[in-house]
Amino acid sequence: MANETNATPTWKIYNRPWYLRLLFAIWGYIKNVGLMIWSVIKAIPFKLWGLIKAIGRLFYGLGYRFVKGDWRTKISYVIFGFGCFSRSPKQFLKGLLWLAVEVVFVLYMVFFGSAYLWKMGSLGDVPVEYENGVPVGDDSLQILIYSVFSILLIIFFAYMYVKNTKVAFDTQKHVEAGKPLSTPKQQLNYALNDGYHVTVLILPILGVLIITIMPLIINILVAFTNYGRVDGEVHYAPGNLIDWTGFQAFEKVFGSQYGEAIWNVLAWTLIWAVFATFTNFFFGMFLAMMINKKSIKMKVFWRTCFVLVIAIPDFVTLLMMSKFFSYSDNPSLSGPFNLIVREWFGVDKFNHDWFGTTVGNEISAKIMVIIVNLWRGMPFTMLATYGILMNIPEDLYESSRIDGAGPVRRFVSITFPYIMFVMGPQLITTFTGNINNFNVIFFLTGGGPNHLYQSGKTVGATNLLITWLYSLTISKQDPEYNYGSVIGIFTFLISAFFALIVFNSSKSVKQEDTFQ
Amino acid sequence: MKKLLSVLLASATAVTACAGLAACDGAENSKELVIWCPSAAMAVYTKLGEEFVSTYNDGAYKDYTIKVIAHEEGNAETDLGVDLTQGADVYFTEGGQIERLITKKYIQPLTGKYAKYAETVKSDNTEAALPTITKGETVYAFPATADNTWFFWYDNTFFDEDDIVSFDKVFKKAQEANKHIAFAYDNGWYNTAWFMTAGCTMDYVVDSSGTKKYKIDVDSEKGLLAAQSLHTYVSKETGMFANGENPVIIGCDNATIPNGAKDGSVVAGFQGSWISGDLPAKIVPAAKAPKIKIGEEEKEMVNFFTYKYAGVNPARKNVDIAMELAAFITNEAGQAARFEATASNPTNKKVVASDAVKESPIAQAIADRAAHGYSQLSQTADFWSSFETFGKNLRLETGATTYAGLADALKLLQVGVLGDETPA
Repeated sequence: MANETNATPTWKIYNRPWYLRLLFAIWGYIKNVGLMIWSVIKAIPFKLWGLIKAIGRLFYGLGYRFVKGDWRTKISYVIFGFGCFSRSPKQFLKGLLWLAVEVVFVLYMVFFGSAYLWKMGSLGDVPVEYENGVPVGDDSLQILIYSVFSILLIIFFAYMYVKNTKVAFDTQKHVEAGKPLSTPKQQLNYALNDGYHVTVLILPILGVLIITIMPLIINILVAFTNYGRVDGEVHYAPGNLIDWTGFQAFEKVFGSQYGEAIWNVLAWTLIWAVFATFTNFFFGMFLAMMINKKSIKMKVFWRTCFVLVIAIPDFVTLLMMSKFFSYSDNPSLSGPFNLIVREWFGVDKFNHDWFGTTVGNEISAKIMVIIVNLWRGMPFTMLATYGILMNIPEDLYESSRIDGAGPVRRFVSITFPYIMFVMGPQLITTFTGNINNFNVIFFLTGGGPNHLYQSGKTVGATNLLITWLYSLTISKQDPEYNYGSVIGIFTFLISAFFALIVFNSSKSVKQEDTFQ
Repeated sequence: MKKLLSVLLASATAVTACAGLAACDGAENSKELVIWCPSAAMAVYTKLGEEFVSTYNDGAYKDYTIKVIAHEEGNAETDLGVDLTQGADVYFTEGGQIERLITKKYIQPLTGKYAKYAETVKSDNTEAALPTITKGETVYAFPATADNTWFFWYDNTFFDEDDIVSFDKVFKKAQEANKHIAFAYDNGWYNTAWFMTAGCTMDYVVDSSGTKKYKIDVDSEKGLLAAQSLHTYVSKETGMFANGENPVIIGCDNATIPNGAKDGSVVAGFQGSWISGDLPAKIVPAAKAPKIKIGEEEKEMVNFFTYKYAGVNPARKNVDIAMELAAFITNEAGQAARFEATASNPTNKKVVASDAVKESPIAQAIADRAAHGYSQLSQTADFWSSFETFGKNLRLETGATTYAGLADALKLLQVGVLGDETPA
């Protein structure tokens, strides 16, 4: 009987060998990600319903306040602030401010905004001609920018409209309840104390809206136009007109023009991110372990040597590296590394094309890029893991030695889990960062040896999505802004996907309440 | 009080940010004209600019200053595309860019009140320079130099007159002596010469209904012969030294021939006139380019030949004065000064006929190229990168560009060059 009820079931995972345990852990992780995505999808209808209900409440509130309000409140639906300054002179300032908001908005729309909004659908009909240096005609890009700005202002105005009716109604209720209205001094006091967060945040929020959010929206909208070179025709504002083209740019990037290239670039981006992150991590960790060993003297000196690499700016070291390994068909014009191997080590005729400046050496370029990034990134992980290593209690190691654990076993069971527990989320953050690691690729290879695809397009072989975007849009005779925008959106989706995984994994890490 | 101050401070910083943006634009000196010219010619145009403001038209433009900034002609379109209103008032550009500059409206046409300049341009300059900048009846730019081409430079102590008649002879002699020849096999401006010599077309044509189409026929019999000939010279299979160490043909940038000639490792090369300043005396231009062997025939070399022009930016404030300036620096005196300083062949009829130009060896080499030149009207967007990849592939023979696979490589090249254009 004891056998049947108390025996450990053999399917339990901790009884299995290490590779099955690893597979089980990975499977659990993927399941978590899938469950998270499913829960997000499940929640969408509920959120939508919540949104509809909120909009319903909004209109209900507007109607209610109109019906229940007195004549002053009703007029303030048309003239802002009327409900305030018509009740008493104490509310004059407040009412006037509200009126000012309405007047500024109406003036803006009448004199400026509506002209641009009107043309938003067609993005201009008459291309610009220059007369005496003054442009005359429709500048499509300006129309796009000011239309988006006007739409944002309309949303802001709608919010202020609803707020205004609430203020008028509340003032009316205040008076009906017999309470005194606030004086200007009280209003100022409110602005500086209880309402200070509003006062001080208005300008920064406006700044963020105009300088960050608006350009983002406009850049996303560019993906739906033909701003660039499409079907042999150029469309560059202001000299030419831009038109809306719907999803045509997406179709071209994923289909006819760059269809083959984009998946290859994505594959290399992910491979690069994996290698860049994990080689840096493991080699940095081993380096830290080596320096941390008791038998190593002059620990500070060795650490300083490696940290010096970080001290010099990125583009200086990377440009230097690209020149160091440079290649020329004429061996006497090749870079120092080829020279050193040839002259000092006596290897005859050694002249290797490290960064693939001649086509065919794509593999060499890819490996070199990973190695140079390792040289550059190792010190960061070394420093981080060094601190963690110093904090691992010695008695853990002693007891494991007593138990008969070898060095590999000690590493796998003590050192590595400790480091992963601290560095785990940071590792995935570095991975997401490496997906967009522009500097290393651009300064070393500039995108790399050109690869000619069957569609006839030439794209560099070591290009990440982000460097490819750069080469499509900057320093090009006919920059392709719309295709670049599509690639930008695609990159954002990829990065967002991995960032969400970080979010998920950090939650699951937090759920392990004790480590060990 | 402190809170009020902090709010005011925050708003002040926000306002200064906006003011900074405005200052970028407004601080531009409206009495200053900017010229973009190649760095080798900066001295000439600075001097001409000073002459323009001090003595031209009885000092009518005394209040203006001329600023000369170095921008190579090939970058004109890209740099203007960054911000047209901040570009130069007068800029130098190549014939191949004119078509696109007109479409994008980066260049002011010589019409209306500027029609008088068009008359001068047409009467004073060589006829061959005009078709590129004329669309219908309108002229768009001022011809400046006739040196946008390349020719054959050789070491006259190594080669003699008989050797440089044929490129095959030149190559074999260099190969036996283990010397390099500099040729930018990976640059579409140079390696297309083989295809043009074989008779291939690569140009826009306007068909009967008026639509513009692009015609290219490198994927053909003649294209294959040209590619095979180029492959023989460039590939590492057949193009190495007699001792097998290094390839005979090496890539060519502005420093290769001057530096290589000094230590004697480079004995010949294909380049333009802009390297003439640094060369040792033994490197001279060939008055007649060597013939290229296509198949079994020796053919007259045909390569890109075009002119360089001065264009006026329509989006700046002083378009009238910029027109005067552009006309001034490209007139007879301006072109003569430019020729003296940079050995750039002129387009002005009178300067071309002058003795100084006629007797210069570089001018003779360029005149030879003018007789056999392929006038570079604009090319497709992917033209240069496709020929660059093709040339590089030839060297290392990956996949399609082994000798056996050249036909496939040419197919890919043709598709790549065509891009999204309509084929003719």
